[in-house]
Amino acid sequence: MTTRRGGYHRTVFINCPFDADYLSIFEAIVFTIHIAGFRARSAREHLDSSEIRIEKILELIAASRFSIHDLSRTTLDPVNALPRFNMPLELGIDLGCKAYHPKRANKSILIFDSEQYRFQKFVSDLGGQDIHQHGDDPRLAVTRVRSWLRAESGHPDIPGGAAIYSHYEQFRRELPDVYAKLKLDESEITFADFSLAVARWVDTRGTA
Amino acid sequence: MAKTESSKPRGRSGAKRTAAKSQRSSKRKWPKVLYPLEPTSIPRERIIAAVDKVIAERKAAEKAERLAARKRAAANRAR
Repeated sequence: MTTRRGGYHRTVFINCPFDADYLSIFEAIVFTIHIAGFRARSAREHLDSSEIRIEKILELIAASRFSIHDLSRTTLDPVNALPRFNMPLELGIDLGCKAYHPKRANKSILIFDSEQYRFQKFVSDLGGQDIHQHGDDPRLAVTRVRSWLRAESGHPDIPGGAAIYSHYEQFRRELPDVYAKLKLDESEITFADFSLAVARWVDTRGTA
Repeated sequence: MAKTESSKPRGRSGAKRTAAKSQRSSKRKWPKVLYPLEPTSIPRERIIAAVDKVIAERKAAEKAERLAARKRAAANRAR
């Protein structure tokens, strides 16, 4: 297990779909994590193809005290007529890590689904968990993530959801200019690039 | 007990001072930003410079707008 010194308590692992439709929710969540003073991590950050994917995920889960698992896209694939089960699998690994690793018992997990109680139809064992909805609305996702981080981390200086979203809207307005200055198309920006742009923006302007 | 000269509010009223203090403390209610540690696909300095430039341009535009508004208001008063 490789954990960067001092990073575990300030790291949030995001386990979510990687499709284009989900991008607005994903980017809003990344922004909220950074503005709240945490680091966002995702399986998207690794570009090294020599690594085995599940090993990357195991490392990220172990290195993060906080995790967001979004099950809202656990639906039937129109081509194969099979559900996408990567997200529930990674949630299961995280729950196992929290249950069996004595140094990871303080992990905190936020689970999203598209509708209340829908998860009981495909993972009924999660019946005792508190599952949240974002309704595919970035504003709601920001509020939910912010409230969870505030409650679970105990940090008193995390701003309110409305203030964070207002900063996020400003950031979104300026992002195309940042991409233009980098001479890059939005589709060429990696998760690590986006994360750094968010952190710099928040540091320089967002908190002013 | 009568207020001594030194304890009297100077310049602005007590309420204004409290409001200013509250504004200052609300500015502090933002946690320190943690930068990502993972490598980016392009040099980090380029991303930081691009973000800084966009913010600087926006701030300059806002400043120019404020100045123009002030000039318009002064011209209206003079009329």
